[in-house]
Amino acid sequence: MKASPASVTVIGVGAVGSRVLRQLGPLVTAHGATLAAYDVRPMRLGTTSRVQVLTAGQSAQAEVVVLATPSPQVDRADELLRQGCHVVCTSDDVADLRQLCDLGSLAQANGVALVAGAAVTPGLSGLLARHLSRRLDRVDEVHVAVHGTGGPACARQHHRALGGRALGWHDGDWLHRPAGSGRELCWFPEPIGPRDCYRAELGDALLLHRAFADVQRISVRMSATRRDRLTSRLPMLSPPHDEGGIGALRVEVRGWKGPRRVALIAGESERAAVTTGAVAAAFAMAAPGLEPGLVLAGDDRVPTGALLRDISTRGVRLWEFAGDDHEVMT
Amino acid sequence: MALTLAGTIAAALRVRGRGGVPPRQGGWRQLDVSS
Repeated sequence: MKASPASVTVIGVGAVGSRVLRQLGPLVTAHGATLAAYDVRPMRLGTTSRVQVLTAGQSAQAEVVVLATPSPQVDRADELLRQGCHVVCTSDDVADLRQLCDLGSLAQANGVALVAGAAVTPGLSGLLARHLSRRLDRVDEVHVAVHGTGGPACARQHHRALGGRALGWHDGDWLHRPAGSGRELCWFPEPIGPRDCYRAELGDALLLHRAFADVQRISVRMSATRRDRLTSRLPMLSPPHDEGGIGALRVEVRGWKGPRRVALIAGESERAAVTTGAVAAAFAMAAPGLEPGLVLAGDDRVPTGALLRDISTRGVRLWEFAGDDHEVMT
Repeated sequence: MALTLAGTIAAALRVRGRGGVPPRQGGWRQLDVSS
């Protein structure tokens, strides 16, 4: 991988953006890089002395720009790519991710990387799926489940996701089902444990399908309570918390190892904003060394091992489910 | 009346859902990403 970036700007200093800035703090002290952000709130950040505060009129131009704003991020990404910046997006909105994927050729033409979906799901889910898939001879199913939310924008997005149309890949075709259907009890790493998870309008399936083109089945579910499902089609009745509690991710990869059909499971449990901050920071550090064009977590060309090592050194503990019986029924 | 009844049953089924199957053995261990 190339050296770390000389300058990084973080746009959006909410629950996620402030975590990205904290994670990138050592860049300033150890490598003399420039770290900048708009609207830095000292109480939230805690490391303002190391961050250059930009005013509204100032350009965000830097070697790498991390977008940690609410969706949509596509217009800002387009503008930054044209300025020659590597862009790391944390969006998980389906429409936004579709449009970000369309910017791949622009990024390639400008010789920069556009990381679409540097969050928990999409993001860490793709990295874990790729990591697990390397232990198998052939992968044919990827199933992701997520629990929890980051900041208020993330909570609103998840509320909308439960009331929309879920996207899944099933035997060579897109499967559109009402979000909130397809209940499945998923075991997350402790302390979260078992949670009922349902289909939701999340963009992860879209990106996983691009990263794992040969996989026959992809599903993405999120945990929800009965109240969440009943109120999903109504406006949020109370404003979301500044930050959600402990979140979790579970990635299950099924495939073949020799003659055996095997299921491998990995995950994490940490505050969603902390995990997203770590993933976005890891991609920001790696961005100058990535291939120009669209970069998706889980893509075989992405340095998955190095990114996962970086993420785990940033305080996100990664787990795998180890049982005596890994073999699954065909 | 019939529509109301059908809607009520569908809503009850949607909220209740079906049960899952708990894992019978195994546990979580730290993922090795060193290689």
